[in-house]
Amino acid sequence: MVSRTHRENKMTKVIEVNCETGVVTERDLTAEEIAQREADATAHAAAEAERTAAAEALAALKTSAKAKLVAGTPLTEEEAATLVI
Amino acid sequence: MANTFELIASSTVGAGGASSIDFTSIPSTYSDLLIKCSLRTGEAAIYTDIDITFNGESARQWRGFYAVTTSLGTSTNTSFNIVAPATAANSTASNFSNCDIYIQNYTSSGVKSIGSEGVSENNSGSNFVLNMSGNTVTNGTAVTTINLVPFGGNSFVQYTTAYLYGIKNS
Repeated sequence: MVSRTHRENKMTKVIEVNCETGVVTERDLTAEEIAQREADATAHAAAEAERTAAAEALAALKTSAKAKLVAGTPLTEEEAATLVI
Repeated sequence: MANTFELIASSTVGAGGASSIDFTSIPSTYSDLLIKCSLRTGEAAIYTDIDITFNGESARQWRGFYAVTTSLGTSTNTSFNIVAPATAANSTASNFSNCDIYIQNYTSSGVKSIGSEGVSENNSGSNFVLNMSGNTVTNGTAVTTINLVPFGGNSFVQYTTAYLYGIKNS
């Protein structure tokens, strides 16, 4: 998984397109919107870390299962599960 | 093109960048909506996930399939709706992602399903991002406002575009 660095470029304006009138306006973020974005960023970082850890754990299990198959040694249930669809 | 597929509105980000692209006062005269977008952010990464919000509400549920370089997997989350990748600052300059976001039965009071797919463009044989995802939103009201927001407090850069189309089933 590619490593991520957040908050590298600061928040700017919001572009609003009114679909009825076609009028496009630019405005600053409200305090509520900034708070929501901060909460989203925290949740996203946690989910991203979980996703990365799960992918790495699965890759390690597959590597271990492959090595055991080649060596003819017994696999754990978790390792076997990575080979059975 | 048949008049059952109509451009409702579009947005092109200017030189100052944008924290989000919001479509407001979306008419309820169509069956489905489709957003076609070309996205890039200033984040110091290969890509940035993009979140979608309806009517400014926080009810979200993401179920996604993704491919990042050689990593392939699925994930779910109830805190946000990831619908697309944006190409970011560590990818080749002037490259943008391309993404389609399809919203079914957007005027319904029931659960809205969102199907999306997108790829972040990068002139590299080893770093790429594919995003395919299914989302559901249970806000109980017709969609009149859509916000597209880059995660992590990042901003869209100049020449990012989003086109909103209405689709009729007759």
